[in-house]
Amino acid sequence: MKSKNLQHHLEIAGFVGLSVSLAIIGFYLSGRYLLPVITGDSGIVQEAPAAVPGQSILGHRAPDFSLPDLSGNRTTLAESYGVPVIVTFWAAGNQDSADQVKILDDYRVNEAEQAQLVDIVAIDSLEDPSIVMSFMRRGGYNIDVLTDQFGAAGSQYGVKSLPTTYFISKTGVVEDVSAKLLSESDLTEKVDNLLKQNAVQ
Amino acid sequence: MSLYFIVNNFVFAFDMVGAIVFLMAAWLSFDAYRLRADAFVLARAIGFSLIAVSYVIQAMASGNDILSFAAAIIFGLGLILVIASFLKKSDLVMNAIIVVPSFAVWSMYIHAASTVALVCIVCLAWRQWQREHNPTWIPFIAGFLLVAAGSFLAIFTPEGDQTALLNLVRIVVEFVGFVVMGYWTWQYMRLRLNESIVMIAVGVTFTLATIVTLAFSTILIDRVTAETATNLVTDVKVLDYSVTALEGEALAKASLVASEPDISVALAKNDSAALDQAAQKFLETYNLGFLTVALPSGDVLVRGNALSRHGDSVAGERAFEEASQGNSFSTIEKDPVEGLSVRAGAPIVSAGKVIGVLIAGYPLDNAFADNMKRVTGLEMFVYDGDTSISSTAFVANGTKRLVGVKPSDDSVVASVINRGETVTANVNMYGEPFQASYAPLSNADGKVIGMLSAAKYQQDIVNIADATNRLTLITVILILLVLMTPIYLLAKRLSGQASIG
Repeated sequence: MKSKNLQHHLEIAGFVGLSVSLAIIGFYLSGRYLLPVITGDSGIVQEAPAAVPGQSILGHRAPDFSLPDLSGNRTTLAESYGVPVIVTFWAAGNQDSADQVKILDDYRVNEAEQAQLVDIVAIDSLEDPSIVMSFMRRGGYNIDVLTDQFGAAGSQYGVKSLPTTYFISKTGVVEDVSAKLLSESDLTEKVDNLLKQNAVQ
Repeated sequence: MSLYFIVNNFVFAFDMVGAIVFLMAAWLSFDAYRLRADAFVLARAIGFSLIAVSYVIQAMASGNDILSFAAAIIFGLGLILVIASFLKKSDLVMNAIIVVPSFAVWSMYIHAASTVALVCIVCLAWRQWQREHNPTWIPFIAGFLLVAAGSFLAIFTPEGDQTALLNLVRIVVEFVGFVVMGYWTWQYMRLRLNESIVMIAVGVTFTLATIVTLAFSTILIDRVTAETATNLVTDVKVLDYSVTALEGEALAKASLVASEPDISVALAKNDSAALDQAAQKFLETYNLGFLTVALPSGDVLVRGNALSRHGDSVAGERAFEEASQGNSFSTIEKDPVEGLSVRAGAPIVSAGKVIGVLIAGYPLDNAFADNMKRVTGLEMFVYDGDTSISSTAFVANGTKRLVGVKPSDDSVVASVINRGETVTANVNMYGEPFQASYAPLSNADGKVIGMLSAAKYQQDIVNIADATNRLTLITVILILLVLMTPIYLLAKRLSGQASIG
């Protein structure tokens, strides 16, 4: 009678153990494969081909960079994977591109709902950080600025004129490029397109 | 109050008068339909009603493309129904209108189509008059002819420019047309005063509501304009104080940096690399807009804000000349690299001798204006002489700042630059009307070298007025209807008792 009870308890324990194991495996698999299918986020970065040097990077993987911000902390593009990114190359000494910083700053405030869905990075080209800091403080602008003092990132991206703005998907692919000053409404439209493309991916 | 505001208010009032006149005409037609159940008379009543509704929507549209299209479509439908009521057995042709983003693009065609339809109504009414020999048609024909003339003039009126002479003529012509149409409806109402008492009540309600709204809006705009002018004067003074504060700040910082050993030692040793490094370091640590080190001869050794720009000369600049004499000095003047800027000069002394001059300060550029806008919330401008060199406002496409422009009102320059006065004026820049205050920008010698300006788009004020007009009109109509209902019921009861008696 006792051994029968023990066997019964062991059967129950085995069943519970098996159920828990299956549940753990199920959770793992659903988190790994099923959830992304349901939410539309594959979780796997589709590697777009890297651009051939000297050619347009549109439709290719955005070159990664590691640049210091105005406090000297280094930031990479890869840190922003998972969120669409606007990357603008500019210089404080170039009036049009300096205006792009003001427009990006206004866009961040006036279109806050849309702007919070993207990362905005302004990369200052070929200027000393002291000049950039002076400009940002005097204008009271509040967007993230990285300094490309020696133009390495600019040449990776093939920047030929300032301002040039890249719209990069959450998987790191350059979806759109604009080599002119963009107004707030231009930005809203382009970010809207970028977000729609990202929703499809 | 500027012509822009006055015209905006009167356009609203005239549209409301048009709505009242056509509403009365619709009531008369509906009254006629009750006596003679003719579908074509009903079509005319509905047509007039739609035209009345279109005028109400037009009054409320205030530049809204969707409402403007809705008004145009309803107006067109109304005209078609009025034409159909004359044709009787003719088939109606209804044209579908596709809504497009900008009303301005289509307005010319819509006005042209309306003119044709209105002239059509005039011709049909003329035929009716010839057939019936009834002189009561004359004001109807004259009224519609004037409205058609107004619609014709609207084809050539630049969209959005309310103060254009042609637009003012159009408004007057249409208003006279409404008055004549009002006379036409009154002819019938006078004959059937008792039956039309409800219509008269409604007409009076709308008229009173329009008058109250117009009066209220005029007073409000006047107050807002006066308040804005006061705020603008205050803000332009804030701008002026900020520039004065920057002069003091630049002077203090220039003196401090000039006394830094890194600078004097590098200069004494003629060490360019060390001087470049020190200039950039102090530019950042002292939060300066620019930093220049020059020899007593004026030759520039380093510009911390533009390292590639050296070898030129600052000789002749007031800040440099004073500092080279051993005096710290600040002023506002122009430089080929920094442009118009707040500049302070301080001597760099070694062993009791002036070995160089340090000039530091802040450019009065777009970044300066942008920061000031953050403080005041208004558009900011800095003028070199009478021409803007920095601005927070952009032209309509949003990519070009309003720089390189002069105030459209010459008296502004005469008052501010020539007489050193602070003035407020309505000015036009790149087609945008602004209300702006101007204050003189003087150098250390007290000479006026430019202007500072704080400005507000007049459209912002008009938007407030339009929103108020809408709310006031609806509120006043509701209040009047509530107040008039018991009076009307009482009058009806009394008239009933009188007829029994």
